[in-house]
Formats: sequence, structure tokens, C-alpha cells
Amino acid sequence: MTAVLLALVPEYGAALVLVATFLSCLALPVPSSLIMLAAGAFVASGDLSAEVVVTAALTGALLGDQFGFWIGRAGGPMIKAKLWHQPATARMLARAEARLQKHDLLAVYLTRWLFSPLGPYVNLLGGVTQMKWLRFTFADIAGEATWVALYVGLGIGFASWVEAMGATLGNLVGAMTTGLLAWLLGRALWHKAHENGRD
Amino acid sequence: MKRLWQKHPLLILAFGLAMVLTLVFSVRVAMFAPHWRGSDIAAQPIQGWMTPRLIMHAYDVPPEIVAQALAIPEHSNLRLPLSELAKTRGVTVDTLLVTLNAAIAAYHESLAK
Repeated sequence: MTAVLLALVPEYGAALVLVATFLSCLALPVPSSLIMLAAGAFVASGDLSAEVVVTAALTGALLGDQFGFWIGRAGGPMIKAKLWHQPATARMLARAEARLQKHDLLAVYLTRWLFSPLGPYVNLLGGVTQMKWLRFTFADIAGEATWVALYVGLGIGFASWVEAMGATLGNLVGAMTTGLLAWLLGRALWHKAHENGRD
Repeated sequence: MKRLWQKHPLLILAFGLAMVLTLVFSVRVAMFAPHWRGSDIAAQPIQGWMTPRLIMHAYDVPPEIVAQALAIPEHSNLRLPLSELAKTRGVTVDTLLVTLNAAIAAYHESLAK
């Protein structure tokens, strides 16, 4: 499966990179990080051009993020009205919203690359919670540039190691993301336990 | 603790699942570690998805050696992975890999002498 996918990279080049990054920013299970590593390897060999690969990757990723953000913004009032109906849910969401707003730039930046599986959901949340478009886009560009530079750069540097690198980084990002979720959920539980103690 | 479980079972389950997944991913990262230790580029076998130019670059082989082994023009801009090249020739990738690996081994031997 991986081999078949990797063999498509030199043939379809930038178009494949663009479609992959776009779809993965919509939470579709496309191995865009692996594709970018491979594209980097083919940049190193001279099969693909660095400028074209980087432009395609950034374009796909930014378009995908903006799409998610605007869907969130358009559907936001409706989603909110539904969820805010229940007082308990509304309280929890209000707290989550306040916390996100406090760290919105960092949340958007880090979910582009370090916690990338969360990116699509943060895009939606940013839209739903009416995050300022300019703030979102600023952090989005910085984060996606980091993501693209990191993966294409590693692909260029370790051309024959693409598969091993893809597997290692995939698991590393998985561990970081689930670790972050465990920490956030643990903290929420801690607060709940203390609230209960006061009951 | 019991009251917490009664009031927020989903939150506790989600927390447990996140902890387990963190552990699983961490173990998988660690499992790949020996893969990286003391590794040199040549230790990674050539794969079917690689193009002739990637092989020249990554394994540090002169173009003429790869071109000769694969029977392609020396300065071709062939952006075809070995797997596709094999298909157009009606042979398996392994056939191409055997010839190519033998040619690269012979080249390295000639350097050593």
C-alpha cells in the first residue's frame, strides 16, 4: 500500500501533494506527511522542483484549513443554538471556548504540525467560536509553513529513509496528540472531582 | 471517585482511552528506534517506488552505472519508479532490483580495489 502510494509521487508530483494536503486538512485519512517526505526525496534527486512542491503543499493545506474555518463560521450559529440548549453542555462549551480564545494563536499554530491530527477540528472550532479571520490565517500560515518545511526538508535530507521516517514521525505525532488529549481530559476530570467535593 | 465515575463515565473512559493510545504510540516509536541506530544510507534496500535518479542520488552511484543496469539513456529525465519501469518491460520489480543491486555491488567493489 505504502509502496503503491509512494510510486505515484514522482509521476503526479505537485498535483498529488496539493490534493493530499487539502484532503488531510479536512480530516480525511490521507497520508499527506508521508507524501511530503517522498516529494522531498524526489526534490533531492532532481525529479521534482522544490518551489513547485512547497507551493503545492502550502496551497493545498491553506485551502483545506480555510474551507474548514468557513464551514465552522457559516454553521456556527446553528451548531451553537443546538448545543447551547442544554445548560450543562453550554457551560462546558463556554469554558472550552474561553480557554481556546486565550490560546488561539498557539492552538492554531501547533495543530498544524506538532498535533496535526487535531488541525481540522481546530479549524472548525475557530470558525464556530468566531475567531478573527486575520488571527486565524496568520497562525495558519505560520503553522503550515512549519509543517511543509519540516517534512519536505526531512525528505530532502534522508531520501532513502522515507518509509522508516514516515512510520516514526507518524507514531510520534500520534503519541504527542493522544498525550495532549489525555492531559486535557485528565485536567477536566481533576476539575470535576474538585467541583464534586464542594457539592 | 465512585461518584465521579457515576457522574462522568464518558469523560473517564475517554481519558483512559487517550492514556492507552499514548502508550501504544510511544511503544511503536521506541520499536523503530533500533532501525535508526548506527544506520548508514546503504543499509536501506532499494525500493520499487524509487526512480533511477533517486537511486543515483541516495545511494551515491554514478548515472552511467544505474543507466546501464536498467537499460535507459544515461541522462534521461525518466520520472518513472522502478515498479512502473518493470511494468513497461513486462518483468517483475525483483528482476530489475537483482540486476541493479548486482551492478551497484560491482561498482562498490571496483572502488574498493
